[in-house]
Amino acid sequence: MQLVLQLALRNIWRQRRRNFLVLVAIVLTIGGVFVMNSLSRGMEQDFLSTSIENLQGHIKMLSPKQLDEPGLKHLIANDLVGDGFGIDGVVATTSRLRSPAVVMSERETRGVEIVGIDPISETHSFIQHLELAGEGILNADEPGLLIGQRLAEDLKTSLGRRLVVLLVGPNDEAIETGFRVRGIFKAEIGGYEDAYALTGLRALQKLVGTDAITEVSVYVGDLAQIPDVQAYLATQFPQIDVKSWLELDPFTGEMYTVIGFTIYILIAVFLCTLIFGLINALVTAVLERTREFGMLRAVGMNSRLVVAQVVIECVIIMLSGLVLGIGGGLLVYLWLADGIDLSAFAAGVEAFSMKTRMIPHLVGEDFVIIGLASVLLGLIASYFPARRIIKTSILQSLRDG
Amino acid sequence: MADFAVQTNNVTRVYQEDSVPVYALRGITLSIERGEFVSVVGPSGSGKSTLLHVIGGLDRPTDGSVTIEDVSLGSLSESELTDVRLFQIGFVFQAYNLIPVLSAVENVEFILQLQGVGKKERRERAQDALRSFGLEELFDRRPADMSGGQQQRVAIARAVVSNPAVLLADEPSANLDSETTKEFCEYLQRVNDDRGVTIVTATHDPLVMGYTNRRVELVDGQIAA
Ligand SMILES: Nc1ncnc2c1ncn2[C@@H]1O[C@H](COP(=O)(O)OP(=O)(O)OP(=O)(O)O)[C@@H](O)[C@H]1O
Ligand SMILES: [Mg+2]
Repeated sequence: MQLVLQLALRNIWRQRRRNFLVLVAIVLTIGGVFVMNSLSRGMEQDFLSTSIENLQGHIKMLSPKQLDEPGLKHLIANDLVGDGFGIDGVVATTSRLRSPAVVMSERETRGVEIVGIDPISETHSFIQHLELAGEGILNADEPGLLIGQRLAEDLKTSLGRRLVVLLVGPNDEAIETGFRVRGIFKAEIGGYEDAYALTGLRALQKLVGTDAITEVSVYVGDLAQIPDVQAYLATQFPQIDVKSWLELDPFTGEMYTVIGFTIYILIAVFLCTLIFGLINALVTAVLERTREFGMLRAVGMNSRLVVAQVVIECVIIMLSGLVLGIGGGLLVYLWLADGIDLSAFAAGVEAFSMKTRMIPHLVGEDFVIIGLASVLLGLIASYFPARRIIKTSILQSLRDG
Repeated sequence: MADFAVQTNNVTRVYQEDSVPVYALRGITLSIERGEFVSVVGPSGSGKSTLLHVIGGLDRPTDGSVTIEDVSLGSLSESELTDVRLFQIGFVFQAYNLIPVLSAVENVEFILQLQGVGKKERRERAQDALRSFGLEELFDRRPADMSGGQQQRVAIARAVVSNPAVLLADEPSANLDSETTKEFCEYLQRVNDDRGVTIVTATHDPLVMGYTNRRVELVDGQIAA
């Protein structure tokens, strides 16, 4: 075996120019797959986190009629939420009261959603990383309004000014109140800036005369825990709808699945292309050495050892390519780790409710898949030249060289 | 133990070419004693190479039997045949005898390595073999850096390093000029004299025939009377 390894290494060195080119091809392919994969994973991550942080949560509990008739009419009790229910895997919960509303300044009128939040427990939504002007919502009793930059511009209002909010109460009564603008925020996704007007949860409850809430968002530590937590909550609260983010946001759910699927197709396509190139290079290399292999077998080297030599040569090149490719990919990844600025295409990316910065993301599982697939394909690629060696008789090989 | 290194009994080899049978060998019966130095001669196409291939276990006869040191090759499996080639037979071909990526010493060692000889012993034996042919200066040289004659001499050292029952050489001097051929034949003679290795060589070259003890002449796949 040591003999075979030595022969393999020396033969790789003998054909160093060609093998170097093969190596470069492998490195570029694997490095490319690696980088594209991390970008796709980043995009996937982006879709997911955007959906989750959009006042959504991994799981949401609400009245069964709420989705059909959004507003204050179908509410749920506020006291059903303990501290994360004490369920394994749940890292945060938060309650909200929300309703479609009309906001008026002296100059303009806009339709928004007014959302009463508890800023203390609102730890996993976009609200926690806003760029703020003014104080914002500091606690659930805050009676003021926090609105987005774009809405403020549309309403031609500013910090400290008053706005009038018009909404339909729990008993279909019209409610009209004045709010002072306590903060103006800029969000990563511009859409948030004209969609929401935020205020304190208890202040809003008091205003509309209820103790109830619209929804509870539940956040888990690991996506894999969602089904279990969801099932548990559903049995605990049979009269309430318990929905996962996939059910609440099927479009993003689809995108998420499609990207995941595309990633694997991409890996497969690239590696297959690589493999055909590799087979081609290997078969050529073996054909050139037909006479040498014939001689080795003639003087008493077992055909299996001759084949092992070719397979080892192939696997060594493949493994080197894999290591260098992943190494190179990692370097590119680190270089891109801050993200690629997509703000030039801001309008386009926003249509997909994506952030304007594309941040690559590494998934350990993908390393393993790329690694295993490469080695496996290296073995498959060496099968063809190996078969050719075995199928050719010694005398034939000695004649052909 | 019999006195014969090689025996063939009524060996026939037929190639089936487009349903027309080509008779390369027609009933060759031949016994070669240990220590003989035999040349196989005859016109082109008379079956010299085929005979050597059949004796060396590179080809199987269509009919008849081949025995090397009392072992009948006909009953052996492919891997047993590989072992016979490794342990009992030394080959010197017309060209491309050596492994390009190995030095002269490593090329000679290669056979011993396949035979499972330990590292230290095989290095010593390989060096001894080369030294006994006065090839010390080639120890670390690769085939590409040797002349044709040097390569053929290293090939002999490689072929006899493990004292095979028979050394087979098919037109070993075809690529050599007469001066180098002479040197080469002297090497063969020394292998035959000093080590007592049985040698069978196919050749067109009268110079080579001059060194041998016996001449077997083939005509149309048969031994000429
Ligand atoms: N693989 C093969 N297929 C078909 N016919 C073959 C094959 N090998 C050899 N022959 C035929 O067998 C006969 C003997 O060939 P062989 O090579 O043994 O002759 P030779 O005496 O060695 O000739 P040369 O002096 O040219 O080397 C020839 O007629 C040749 O055409
Ligand atoms: Mg011939």
